[in-house]
Amino acid sequence: MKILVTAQLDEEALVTLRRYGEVEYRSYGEQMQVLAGSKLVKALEGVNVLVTEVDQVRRYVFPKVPELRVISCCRGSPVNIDLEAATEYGIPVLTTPGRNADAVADLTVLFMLALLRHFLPVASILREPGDGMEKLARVFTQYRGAELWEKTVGLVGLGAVGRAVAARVRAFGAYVVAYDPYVTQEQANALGVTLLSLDELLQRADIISLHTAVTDETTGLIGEREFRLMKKGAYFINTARPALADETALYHALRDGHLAGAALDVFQDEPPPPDHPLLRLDNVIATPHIGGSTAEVITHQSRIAVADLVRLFEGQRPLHCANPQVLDHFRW
Amino acid sequence: MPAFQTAEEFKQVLAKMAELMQSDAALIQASKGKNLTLSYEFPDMDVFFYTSFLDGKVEAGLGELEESDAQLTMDSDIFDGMFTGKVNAAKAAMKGDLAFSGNVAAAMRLQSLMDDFKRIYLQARSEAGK
Repeated sequence: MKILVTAQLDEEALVTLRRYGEVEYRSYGEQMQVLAGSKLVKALEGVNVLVTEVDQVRRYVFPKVPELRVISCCRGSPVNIDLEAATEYGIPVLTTPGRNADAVADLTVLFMLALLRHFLPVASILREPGDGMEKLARVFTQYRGAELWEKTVGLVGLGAVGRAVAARVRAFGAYVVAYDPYVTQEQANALGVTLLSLDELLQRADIISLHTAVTDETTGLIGEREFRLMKKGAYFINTARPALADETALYHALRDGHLAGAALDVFQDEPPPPDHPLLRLDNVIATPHIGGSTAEVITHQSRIAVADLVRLFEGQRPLHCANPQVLDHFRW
Repeated sequence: MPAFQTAEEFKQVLAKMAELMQSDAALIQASKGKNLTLSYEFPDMDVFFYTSFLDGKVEAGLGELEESDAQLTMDSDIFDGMFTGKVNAAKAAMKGDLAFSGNVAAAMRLQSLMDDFKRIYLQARSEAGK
């Protein structure tokens, strides 16, 4: 068995994989190389298992790599793989859903606290020139913060990230409500979360945070009407995907004072230019899509990916397969 | 609908682009002090292309190079979209639609010439009847 690993995996994962085959580790992060076209075909010569994160596995690759049997894609959704072609060629595409759930949830809570405590202006005030007493006065009058305690946090989407956020903010004493048509009230109860319709959530929450995937149903989910439904003085957070919310409508809701603030890790154009309207607002915290960028994400994806590969090596059914129909007839 | 139906159509545009690049005053001026060769692969069309900026001289053409400073791989639609304003290069790279290897930082320095590349590409497209 020959295993090519171009995704970033930890040493423990590589040790486990070496029990099942010859492993070549060429992490794209270290090599600064994304494989595609003839380079990918050459790299896949004789390879049976590809563990990837960013390489372009397009339709034209499959007929040129007849020994490839499995692709493990270290992403929640295998956007870099032609899934239809993989399915036609009988190749299971394994995924790692929730690999960055903890990282994104941590950032989301950081955003909530930073918004509630006016952290950005307060953290820079001591470095500003000027009278110390005046600064203190400003801090205690203009920047008195608020706690998460007894705030209502509205989560749009209760998947891996939404659940991780719910668990965190409940520890702060916040109430958690969520909108997710694919979750039952029983499942939500187990998380201490109350399910609401989207409109009810928007009207009740002090903080609204998006944690859903982009689909036809969710594209443009939060527009002008939805921002207007939010409570005056509410906070809005998007650490998920830019296509979920209308940036122009958000800008108007913030500029007009309807929303107290927003924190955004994702933008329609990334990175947004410095003169982007939202970046000119003092009540906006903006970061350059860092949600999943932690050292531990490598460990998370290593564990999820390798556990499923081991299942397949041992003749069991993997838990996370984007084209499960091929598993019924899968043979090494 | 794909920008090009056949590899021949795409090659015609690239050949015209190469011809225009080599005599473009703005690119020749910009190439001064640079020594950088980029190679492009378009696997959907099985087409290769290259551009070289050689201290006051610009070379470009169809074909696969043995060596280059940076290598870019993308489908022809992505390449076309980047120069016709339909595709954001940074987004394409983040989505994995644009793969790279080699000295990517050096290649990124050509970003300042993007407007010239767009102008030349659109002219090449037009002259090739696309």
